[in-house]
Amino acid sequence: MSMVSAEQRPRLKRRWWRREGVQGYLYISPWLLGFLMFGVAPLIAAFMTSLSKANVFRTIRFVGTDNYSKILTDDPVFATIAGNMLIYVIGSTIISIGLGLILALLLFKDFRGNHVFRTLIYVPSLLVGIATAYLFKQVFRGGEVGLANMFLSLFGTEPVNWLGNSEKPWLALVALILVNVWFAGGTMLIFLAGLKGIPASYFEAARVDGAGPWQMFRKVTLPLLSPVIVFNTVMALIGHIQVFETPLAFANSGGVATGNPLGYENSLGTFVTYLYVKGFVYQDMGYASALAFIMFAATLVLTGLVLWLARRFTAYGDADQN
Amino acid sequence: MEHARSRKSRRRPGVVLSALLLAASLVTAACGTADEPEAESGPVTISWGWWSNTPEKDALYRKWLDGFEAANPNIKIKSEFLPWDAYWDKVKTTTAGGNAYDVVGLCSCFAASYFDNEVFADLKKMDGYSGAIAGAQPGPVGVFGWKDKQYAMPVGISVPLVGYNKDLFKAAGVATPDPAVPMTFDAFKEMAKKLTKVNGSGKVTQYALHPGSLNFWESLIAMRGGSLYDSFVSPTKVTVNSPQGIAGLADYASLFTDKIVPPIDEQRENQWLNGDLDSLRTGKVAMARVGPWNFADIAAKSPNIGVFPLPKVGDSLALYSGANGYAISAESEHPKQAWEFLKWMLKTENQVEFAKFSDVPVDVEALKKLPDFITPKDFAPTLLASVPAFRPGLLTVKEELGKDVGLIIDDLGRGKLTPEQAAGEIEKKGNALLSQ
Amino acid sequence: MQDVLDKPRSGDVPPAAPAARTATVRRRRNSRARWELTARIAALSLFCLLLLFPFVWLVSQSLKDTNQYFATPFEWIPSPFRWENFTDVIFKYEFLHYIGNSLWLAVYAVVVNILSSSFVAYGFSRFRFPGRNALFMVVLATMMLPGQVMTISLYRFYREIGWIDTFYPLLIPKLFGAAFEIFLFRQFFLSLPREVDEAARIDGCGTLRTWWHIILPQSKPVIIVVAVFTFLGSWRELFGPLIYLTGEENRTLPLGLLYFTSPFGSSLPMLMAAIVISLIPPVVLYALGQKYIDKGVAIAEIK
Repeated sequence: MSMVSAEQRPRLKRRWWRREGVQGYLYISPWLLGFLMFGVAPLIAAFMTSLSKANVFRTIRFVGTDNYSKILTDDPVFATIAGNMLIYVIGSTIISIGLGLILALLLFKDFRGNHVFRTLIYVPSLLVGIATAYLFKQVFRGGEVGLANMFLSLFGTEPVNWLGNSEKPWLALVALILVNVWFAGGTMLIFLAGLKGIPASYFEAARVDGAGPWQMFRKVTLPLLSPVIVFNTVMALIGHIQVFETPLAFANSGGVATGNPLGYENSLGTFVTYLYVKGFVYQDMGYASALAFIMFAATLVLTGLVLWLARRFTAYGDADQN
Repeated sequence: MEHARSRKSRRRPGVVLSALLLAASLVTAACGTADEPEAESGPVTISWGWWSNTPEKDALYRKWLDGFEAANPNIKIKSEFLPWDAYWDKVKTTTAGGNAYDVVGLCSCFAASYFDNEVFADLKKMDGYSGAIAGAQPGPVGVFGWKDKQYAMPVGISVPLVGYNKDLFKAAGVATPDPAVPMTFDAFKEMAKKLTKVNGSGKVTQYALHPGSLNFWESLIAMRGGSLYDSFVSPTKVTVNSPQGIAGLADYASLFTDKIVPPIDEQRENQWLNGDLDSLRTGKVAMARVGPWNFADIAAKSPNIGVFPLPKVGDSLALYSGANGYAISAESEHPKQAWEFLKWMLKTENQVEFAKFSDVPVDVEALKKLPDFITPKDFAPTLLASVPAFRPGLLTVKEELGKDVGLIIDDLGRGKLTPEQAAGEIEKKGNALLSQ
Repeated sequence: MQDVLDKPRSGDVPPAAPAARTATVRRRRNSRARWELTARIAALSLFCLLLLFPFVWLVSQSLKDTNQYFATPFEWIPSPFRWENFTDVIFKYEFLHYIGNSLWLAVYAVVVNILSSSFVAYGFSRFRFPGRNALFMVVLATMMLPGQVMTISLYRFYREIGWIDTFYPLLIPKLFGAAFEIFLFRQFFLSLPREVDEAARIDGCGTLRTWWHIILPQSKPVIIVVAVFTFLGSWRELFGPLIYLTGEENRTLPLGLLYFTSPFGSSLPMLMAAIVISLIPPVVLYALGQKYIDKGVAIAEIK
């Protein structure tokens, strides 16, 4: 491996500084351009809407921060949904990251049939939205025909009414979290690519130094994988906070508008389904936009937290941030 | 791309990138000329939207439109049939974005907010408006009226009928109900109790009635002499909390306690109760809602399904339902041509053609001819007995109202609320919403 | 976590362990490895069984008529098989056409996104410039606001510039990179040793050539991953094609699936058949593509 000697580097950096800055902007310019063209205006429009009383068709009047204060102080539905989301996001992220990492580690080593497993595990992730909704609705359907119930009946359990249970509405949220077991293939894929990227010599070097398996995992795999872990965690958070299609399908019985689109006693309500129902069904776009920005702020804080933790506790992750 | 210049030209990534960016800017630049104004001399194309039913029915619908094109050689219709949910998403987005179909297919169920925001053209200002509606039933036309304006025209009305599975009736030894005369609610219940089947271990294997989308409880309240709202179109007050209203709610709740209808949670969750026609066809329930929109399908595939009118209480029959129709986008560039279509579709002969594959005609003359052309033929008496009982369903910009009331009714069905409590809840919640 | 001990591709790396290893040690290692492999395969098989259970149901239901579909008790093996569901989906509902539409949109998205996103990510990971971290947070932030609240103003914007009823709203924005892909590329570029490309730069290689000749060839595994995700993102997209395009000839697969869910006469067995068909192209492409994840060159071996 050709190396730049330690004495050379600082001098080079100084010399490149000015041009490097210009070049950096040049490289990110496609994104910057796209953002300025297609991203900024809708963003500002949405923010203005959040400060207004508005419906889908028009803005009625400016109301300042009324929407925000109503959501945060005077909306029991939002309070329920925020609770749902806390449980859902934590549960789902643990499944996505934990299961994804375990699967990647299991499949990292080459053995016969490895590819078959990888393909099979990824099959659920290849479903199109509506297919996901229908299939998992069937998994968690009540009565003997539900697939989860069929599985549980092997252990002698009575059929559970998962999604429309007025006695135990929280079961619906559990089902919603469990759906993520089927989608761990996505994080697994990224972990696998990350593991492949770790130079084999690092493992060899550690082995020569006499590291045990656990030490190897902690001292080699985990630190070198940290940018990927950071990535997967941030993406899992952003993705799970925006969960939409499946909870909506779980709450609806199909057909023309029946039942509560947020589930019994809002037990299946998520930020985006609430936003959708408020904005597009109940015609309160101002409120929906404010919800979007509150959700945005929550995501931003969580992401910031993850990145901050990453910088503090990983050797490699964002060490380059300056 | 300063670097592309500096090195050998072979395999330069810069070339690829510049080409991409160039292509992007060219495409962007070319767009200014993309929408050339249509020449007024040739045929005008109007865009037209409706929700999809089945491929067969969509094809029949398109054939009907071909009839319009044949009669109006200067107007072409660019039709789009979209799946139900997708259709409403598209209509909402394109209307809000100022680019709706010229002719927008509408169901009265979702019409209120469009009307209230004046996104459609007022048809009263169109040429020959009064002539166009002269032959139509005033009820359905009224459904699409809003504050002295007329934002859409009905093309058909949908009345709910009770469909029943003849085989299950025979198996239970129940006589075939009269297709033309509504039975009394009590007689209906007596009959229905025989149609719910319980197996050895106390489990229900077949329910008598799937109540979904029948709007049965609204009917019951009205037939008991009460009224849910002061008016179903733009209500200002909830009026259900009266002895009559409570009696209607009690009637509805009795369907659950007598096990005539499946429990609410099962209605939501059980796969064989998903979709009224499917559950009827497969014999999971003995009775379920059927409407003219199903007739062609039933005639073709299910000879074992019959129909009779919803039962009545006292002398009156009340059926709450909606109308389907067309509006003209306020931003349409071809409002005249769009109006030609609306006028065409209200003519008796075109209403007849429409009713052959779709809803009950709004045109009075076409309605009279119904027995001559409807298939299955023996459904005609039931339709004719039911249509006069048509009442428009809820039409309000307070979209939460229907939903919230529905949730309270669900709790009534679950037995969590007594009829009195439910009436009180509906009044409290509904009026709070309406006074906002 | 035994597996992390094993070097990923033992054949490629010269043995670094001392040569004085005895035969007994090797044999003991082998038997342990065999036991470990069995356990690994058993765990994965069990998991796959659980995972694929709903798909067995799916295939079974796709071969039934409505009566069989709703029959209780449930029949795993339909009798008779209704193959017509599949032929109807393909011919009556013209699914091949929808698949074709979705396919070309997805392939376009993959090609364009890999180039533009890796380009932008290179900028974010290899250059220092004022505001870089803030701008990168903006990249991330663009993913955090749910698109629903912006669709209408975006639609109005596209209408203003005359893009409605054209493919531009679906094609052009992809030229500018996508946040998810940029983030993924950046994370991988960060883990590539800087020394290699800095050395290349010193050798007179321009940054653009460094990106193309040094960075991208090292990134094959992540390129495949990005390709998979971008493909699926586009393959699944329902809303854009729905609102920006009109006409049967432009229907995409996700929209096509919805035609079976009409509340006025749904056809669930056919929906299931359509779902099975919709799984075939991505499964085939993925099975082919994932071989290349392994073919990706391990970083240390690039000199």
